[in-house]
Amino acid sequence: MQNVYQTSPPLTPSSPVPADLSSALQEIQGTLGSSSDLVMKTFTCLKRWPAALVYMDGFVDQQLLHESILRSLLRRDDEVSRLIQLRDDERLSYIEHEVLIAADTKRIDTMGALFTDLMSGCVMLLLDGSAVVLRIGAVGWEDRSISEPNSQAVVRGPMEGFNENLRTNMTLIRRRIKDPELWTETREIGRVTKTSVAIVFHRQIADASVVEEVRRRLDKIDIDGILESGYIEEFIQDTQRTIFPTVYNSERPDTVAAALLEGRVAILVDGTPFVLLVPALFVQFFQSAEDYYQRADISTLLRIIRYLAFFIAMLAPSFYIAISTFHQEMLPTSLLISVAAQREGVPFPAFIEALLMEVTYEILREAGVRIPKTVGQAVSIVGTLVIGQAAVDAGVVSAAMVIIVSITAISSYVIPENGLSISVRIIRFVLMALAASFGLFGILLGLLMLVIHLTSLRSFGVSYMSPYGPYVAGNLKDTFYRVPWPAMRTRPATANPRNLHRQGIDIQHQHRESGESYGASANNREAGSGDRAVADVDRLLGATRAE
Amino acid sequence: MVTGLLLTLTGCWGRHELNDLAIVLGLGIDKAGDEIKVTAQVVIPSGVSSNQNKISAAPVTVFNATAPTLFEAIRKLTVSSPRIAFLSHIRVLVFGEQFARENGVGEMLDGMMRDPRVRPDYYVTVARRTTAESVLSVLSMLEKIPADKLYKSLDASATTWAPTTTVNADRLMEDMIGSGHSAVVPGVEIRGNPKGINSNNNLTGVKPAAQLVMNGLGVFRKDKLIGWLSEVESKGFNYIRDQVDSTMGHIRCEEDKGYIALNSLRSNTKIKTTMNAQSKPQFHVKVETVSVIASVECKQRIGSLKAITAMEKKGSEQTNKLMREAVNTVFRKYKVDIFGFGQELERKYPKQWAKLKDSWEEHLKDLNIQYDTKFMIKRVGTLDDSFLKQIKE
Repeated sequence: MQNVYQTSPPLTPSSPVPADLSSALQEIQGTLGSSSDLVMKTFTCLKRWPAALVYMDGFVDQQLLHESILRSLLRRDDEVSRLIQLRDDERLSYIEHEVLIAADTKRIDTMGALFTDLMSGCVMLLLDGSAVVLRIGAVGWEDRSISEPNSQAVVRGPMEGFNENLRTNMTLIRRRIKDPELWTETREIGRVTKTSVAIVFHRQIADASVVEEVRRRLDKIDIDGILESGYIEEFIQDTQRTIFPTVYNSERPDTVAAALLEGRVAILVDGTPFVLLVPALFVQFFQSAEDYYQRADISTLLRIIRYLAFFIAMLAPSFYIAISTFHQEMLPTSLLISVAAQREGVPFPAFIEALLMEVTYEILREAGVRIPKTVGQAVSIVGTLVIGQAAVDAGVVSAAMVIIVSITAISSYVIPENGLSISVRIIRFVLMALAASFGLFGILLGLLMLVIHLTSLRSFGVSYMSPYGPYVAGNLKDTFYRVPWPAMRTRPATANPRNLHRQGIDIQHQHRESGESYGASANNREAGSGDRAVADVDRLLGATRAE
Repeated sequence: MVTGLLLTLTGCWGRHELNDLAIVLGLGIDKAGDEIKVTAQVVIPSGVSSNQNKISAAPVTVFNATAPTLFEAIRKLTVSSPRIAFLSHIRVLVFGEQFARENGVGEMLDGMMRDPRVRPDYYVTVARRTTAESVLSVLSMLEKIPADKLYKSLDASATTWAPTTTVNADRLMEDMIGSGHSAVVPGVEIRGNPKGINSNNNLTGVKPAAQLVMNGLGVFRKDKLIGWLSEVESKGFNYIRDQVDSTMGHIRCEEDKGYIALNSLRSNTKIKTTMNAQSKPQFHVKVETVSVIASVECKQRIGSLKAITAMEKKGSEQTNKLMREAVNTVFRKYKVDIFGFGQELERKYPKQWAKLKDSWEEHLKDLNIQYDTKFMIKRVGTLDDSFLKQIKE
């Protein structure tokens, strides 16, 4: 990693930009090597001064570059007398304020800043004789368009998901929370990749200590590159010694907006649609965005089904092993006989049989993800045969085992967040081994250890199993069940304890600083909008006076 | 890592794969000289399972072993059986009549109750006029597994047919050890031709050559069988013990010959114990039963309140008679208190019971017992008076 900084040519970030145009261009060329996507267009600015535009090809909006930047710089200026009077250091200022047709401009005087911005897609205007470079924001590259999120689909609810562009993602969140108190802080992480990472939180709702903790942990990261939010996740999670995800991720703007309103902190990483949310609780992994868009009773039913599926996915094979090898007396007689009939002639013990099928299924699943789409169909046919009737007919496994594996596989997909379903898959194998060794006692032992482990987990200082352990009665309203919205008057414990009310009169006090008025009566609302109008006029007047 | 390796060292104590087990559904105990002969009816899973197309296989097989004690004999079954006998799912325990009369069921029941793996919810029966082995060797129709057939027909007839009752191991043990009453056990007999009963040939015809039938209740003194109750006596017995759920009964018509069949919906019995002036116990058996008319074979009018009251009166007299006869027969013939009057007395007057306890069986025949049946007819069905009257005219 250190080599990057030691190889030639040496780049000291704080070295000044040479005033001489050709030596400046030479230095840029030298640092970037012979990168073919570097464009250095030299021209005579205003038909008078030698200048150069430097940018990376493909990063820049070509139309903007040609129609407004180049066109304005190449015109012949009529105020010749005035141009002659300008000293070298006044020329750039003249161009910036009176010639250039571009909104986002900034002066740069170090090589380090020049390269960072150049690599982020800005156009650099270098003027002969000026040690200051004008950076013109004209970013325009190809993005994946905003499309429906793949990993967290809903039937009812917004259909747009994040894409790989940090700015677009930020816009998607801001469009949902139009509040100046929604703050973002951007920093660059990754020595080589210099990836933009944005912390987003609501200043009044999020717990300041959590925000501070996020800043601290992000600043501690020292790595050459961040290519996905998963890198960040592993760096900032409370402990590495767990198989449970302690950071939530989502590619849904509405989920992120809802989390921000619950006082969580969002971490956006440029280059990935997956936004991290902390602190994350265990119950959160059973919540789907849709739960909040449909009726509370339906959501509650679906939640219960998800918890049920969680336990089936975790326990079904181990229960089958335990009961069929240790506790045969637990089954009803007729069921026992029919299970026994299926096991006639199966050559393996139940544990090996279950392991065989589960491993086969995991292989198929992994193959299904990796396989090129064109051959996918062939694999699914083969796969169905392997863990299907053919395996039963061949006498390798029993039909009951196929049912167990299938229900387990299906159940693991009911959990809305992928991270937790992977944890469940790992636990499943451990519990199977325990069940094969000790029967139901083993399963109980495993579950006890699991509970102890889960309750010991923290996510950014918040207990992972909260509100169950520690038990917080007031926070149960959005866990195993969801109460209707009118009854959901307070925010969960992840929020700033001073600002817990979602609804009601208290909310006015809490939001006063933000200039928002959530008053219940129509009068209050009118007054609120009136205030805003006055503020608008004040701002306009102020701007005119400044000119 | 170490814990992971330790798992492999456990040796899986108590672990049995399903295909190493012989699931015993019926267990029979017979006398074989001084020893006992155990018959285990073991299910053949592939013969039972519906989706297999090997229909030819018998659903069960029977293994025999003879040894001085029950569990020795059960272990000895492995001499002929390739798998270990798995007793947790026993549905019925059948005693041969000879064994029940001469050896008594007590010792066997002790063994069965002591084993923690055996659930004491199986039914106990006595093979009437035959051996347990032959009873367990009869294949049955409708239910593939004969032990299941026994279990279910006991269950079904106990709730819908007054003369039958079920006794599971728990209950039998309580009846035998409790003071003040004796045990009864339903009898099962083979009806038909006992030859060729143990092959699928028994099942090929519409009417099987032989089948198992519940017949009467065996009366026990302590743990030994001493005799049988007839169907009518069994009915009386069940009324007194409050074991009638629903049943069918009849009363005779007033004028002409024929019957009125009554569907008894529910029945409830209470025994009230009092002491008379001479400090002799008196028992008052109160039965409340609710019936509907199922069929009418007589010309008499049944639609009026008067007619119904008359029928109710008749029904109540008949039930009283039923109970009285059952009590008289049992007390005269067998001199055991299967009805539990002694227990009632103990509950109400423990001191007096302590005095009478030892000579209770002598007192039985002079007991003062009153019977009082409240017989209610609630509905007459969808017909009023029978249309037979119009046909005959």
